[in-house]
Amino acid sequence: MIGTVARKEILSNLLSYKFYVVILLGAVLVGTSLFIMARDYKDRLADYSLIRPKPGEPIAVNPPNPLAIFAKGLDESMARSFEIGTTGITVRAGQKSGNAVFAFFPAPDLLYIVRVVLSLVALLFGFDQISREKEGGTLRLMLANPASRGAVLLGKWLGNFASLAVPFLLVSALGVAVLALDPEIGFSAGQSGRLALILGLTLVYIAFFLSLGLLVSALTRRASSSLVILLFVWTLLVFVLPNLGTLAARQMVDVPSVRALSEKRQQIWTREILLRIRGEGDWASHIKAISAENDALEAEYRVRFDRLVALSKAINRVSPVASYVYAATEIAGTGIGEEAAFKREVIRYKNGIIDRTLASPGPGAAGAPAFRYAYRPLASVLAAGALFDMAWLAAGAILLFGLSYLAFIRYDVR
Amino acid sequence: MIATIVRKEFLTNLVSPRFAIGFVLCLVLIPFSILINVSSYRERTAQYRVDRDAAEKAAAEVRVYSRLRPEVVLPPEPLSVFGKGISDQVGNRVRIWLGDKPLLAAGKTAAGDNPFLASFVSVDFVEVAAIIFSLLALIFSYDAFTREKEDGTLKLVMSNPVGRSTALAGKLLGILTTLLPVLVFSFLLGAVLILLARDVAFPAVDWGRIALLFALSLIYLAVFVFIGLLVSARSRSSVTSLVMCLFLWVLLVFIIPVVAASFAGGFVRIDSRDNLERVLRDLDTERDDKIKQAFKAQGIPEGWSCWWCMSDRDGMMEVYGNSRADFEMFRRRAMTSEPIRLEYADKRWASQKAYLDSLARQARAAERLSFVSPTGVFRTVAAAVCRTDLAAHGRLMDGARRYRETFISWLQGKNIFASFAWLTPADPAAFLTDDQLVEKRTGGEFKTSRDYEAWAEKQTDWRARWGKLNQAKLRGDSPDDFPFLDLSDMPRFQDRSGTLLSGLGSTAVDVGLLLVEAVLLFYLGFVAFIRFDVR
Repeated sequence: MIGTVARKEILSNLLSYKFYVVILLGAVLVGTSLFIMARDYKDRLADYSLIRPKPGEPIAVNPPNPLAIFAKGLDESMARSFEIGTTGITVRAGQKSGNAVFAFFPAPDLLYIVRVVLSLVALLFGFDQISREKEGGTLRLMLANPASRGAVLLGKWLGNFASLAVPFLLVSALGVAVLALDPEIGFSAGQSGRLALILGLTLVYIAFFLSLGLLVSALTRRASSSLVILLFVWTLLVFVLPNLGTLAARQMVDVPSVRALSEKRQQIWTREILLRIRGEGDWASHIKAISAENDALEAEYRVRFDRLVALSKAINRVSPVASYVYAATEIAGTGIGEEAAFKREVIRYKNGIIDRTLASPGPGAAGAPAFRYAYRPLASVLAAGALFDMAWLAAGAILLFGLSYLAFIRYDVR
Repeated sequence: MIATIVRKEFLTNLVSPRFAIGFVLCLVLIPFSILINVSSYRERTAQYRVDRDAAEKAAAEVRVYSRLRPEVVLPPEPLSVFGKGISDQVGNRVRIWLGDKPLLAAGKTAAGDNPFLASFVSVDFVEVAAIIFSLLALIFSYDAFTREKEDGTLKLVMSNPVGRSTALAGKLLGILTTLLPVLVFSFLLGAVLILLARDVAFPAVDWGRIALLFALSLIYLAVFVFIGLLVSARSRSSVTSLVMCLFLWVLLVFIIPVVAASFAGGFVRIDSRDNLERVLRDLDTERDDKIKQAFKAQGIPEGWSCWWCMSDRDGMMEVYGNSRADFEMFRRRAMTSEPIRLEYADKRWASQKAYLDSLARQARAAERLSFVSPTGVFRTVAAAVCRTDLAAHGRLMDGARRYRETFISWLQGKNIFASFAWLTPADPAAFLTDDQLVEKRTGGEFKTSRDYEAWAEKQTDWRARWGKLNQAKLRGDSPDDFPFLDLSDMPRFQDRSGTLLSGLGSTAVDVGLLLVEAVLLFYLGFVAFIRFDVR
């Protein structure tokens, strides 16, 4: 019975005008997004080949991550160059130090398209599932057969999920195939696996919104009131809640401004230089002291910053949309956890360089070891929170489906 | 008749749940955005005061004109409480150098090194308005004709002696009279919150600007109402109309502006910053060579020594306790080098301006592309009204550049490069010769500097050599002997004092575009409704 309902749903979707408009629009948007982001990636790759340090230069640069095409996250900040000097780390933005105007537009990556458009598409597939059949009078005919309400609901869900998921996977697979043909963009096996995981996660995200649509549809009598309610819920989930937590957390956790931090660094530097002029200690100990204190400063800042991030993430997770974004960016290696790990690695590299320089002074002892950042393995990314986010999103989808079952068994189908 | 339709529309809308939901949404989001921005404005004002006081203190504590490098601190814009624009992305401090014109402001107030803080969507009143007002307009208009048709009341209405244009006008006015209270309420709520906030004071002109923002929001709202009416008149059922409207909304509000920004970022190139730095470095080398040659041509020796001096980049020089001949040499150096420095500032500016222009061109391209959507026009014009767009910042930077010219002509008016006051606060009439200096400093032990040199050559310990010269403290040997300069006549940076419409000339075209769009959509909606099958 479930199969029959699902088959009927797929066929009626295939015959509807809405289906083709939505699929076409989705395909155009996904295509445009991949095109723009692939171009952006290639630009940044070209920048990277310009600023890539020569062997022996104490500069830490990480190449751009090809998965940033799908989830840009903080990749731009991780691909900056960090030049190690005795005074600390000089951060350069690279060639394309952008135009101030663009800072507040998010990147139109696949994540953005999925987050904003695909969620809406899923709602549009779900919002009139019950009311349309009721208005058409087919709902009572269907239930006059030996079909349980649960089977009808599950069949509807499966049929609509299939008609959403299959075109999405086809379009994405086509896009990825075109990207993979580009000689400049190469995905390693691990990255392909991560990409598959992100696409799988996206299916869970679609399932969440489809269930939400089904729930509201089972709670309302008329299709248009169902859609209006869904629209407000959607605005809340996608735009309002994921920002609310960050803003609230900023009011609660006090993070020193970047300027205050650099002023403190300046103070340490001046103090050590004055001590040196007075003739206390030797250069090596002063440089070590400056480096250690800067690290302590940075560590203290990081502690507070991590608290801010943890708190705002915790609040933002009220909306599973935030969970989806966190999980997808972390899996892609462009998330905030990966960025923190990267910063730690840069500091370790800096300390290594300073130790080497002090151990063998003189210009002849150049030849710093090359910096190489290894992304965290998938297992530790998952353990660090991505798995929780995925589970939370899946739990939300299942919960909503359960609720819509409860609402549907009370539904007056006449 | 039209009044009856308007009244009926207004009343049905008023009792509908969507009115309540929309009202509550505004009630929650607008205070939220205003409060967040008031607190951020307060922080920036506090930082501004600290910076300004530090800059004034630094400028007041100089003894010679050569060390005078005033720093302009740009105050935060009060209207940024409504629309932040780019105010978080640009700096607020500009130092005035002789050899360089101000290019970009330093001291970025937000974000900076911290990617997490930069990745916030700017939640301000303009952004909330752009999203919520358009949504409300569509929600109220998507079923204007289809619902009445479904309920069967449309044919009843049309069976009365009512023209279609009257029915349409009635519908339109009904929707607008429902939305207008929401709009007015939102602005009043914003205004009350601003009035209640302690440290935010708006001058009269700024309230006028908020009125402009209100008018702009009204046009924006109307455009979306017309879109909703058009879609409604072209659809068979309310549901298809709503689906269509939603797609248009997401496309116009969320997708097009983002895609436009990326497209402009990717396809309209900006000049490379590294390249600019290289050109400027070359020019600096050229300038230093030219100064060296000018010294040679005038017979000024390259090296110099002084009793107590401080020299710094950009030709800063402060000298104490030297002989008349040395002071004269320093004076001639400054007289020769400083005009060359000023001349090269103009040469540097040519490349800097090209770079700035390319930035502006790219930003303008992004704006133009986003004009495909009414939201793009709304955002652009609203930022201009709130004086937080790129052009307003450009005007401020132009003001800083003009201030540099004023400052330099003030210096030149004093003929300061040729004056001793450029280098030293000591009175030229009291300058001593080398011999006199040596005699006084050594307490009469050596009569001429030649005697001292002859003696000093035989000394191996440099401390003994210097000790001789420090036997008597001479007035004028150290900066502490002199008061700070009296700078009461120095020109100050004039803060902006724009009129109501200043800087909005170029946005008139954009607003015109929005109006044309509105009229066109209204016309299309009208035509679609005339052809609408009301049965």
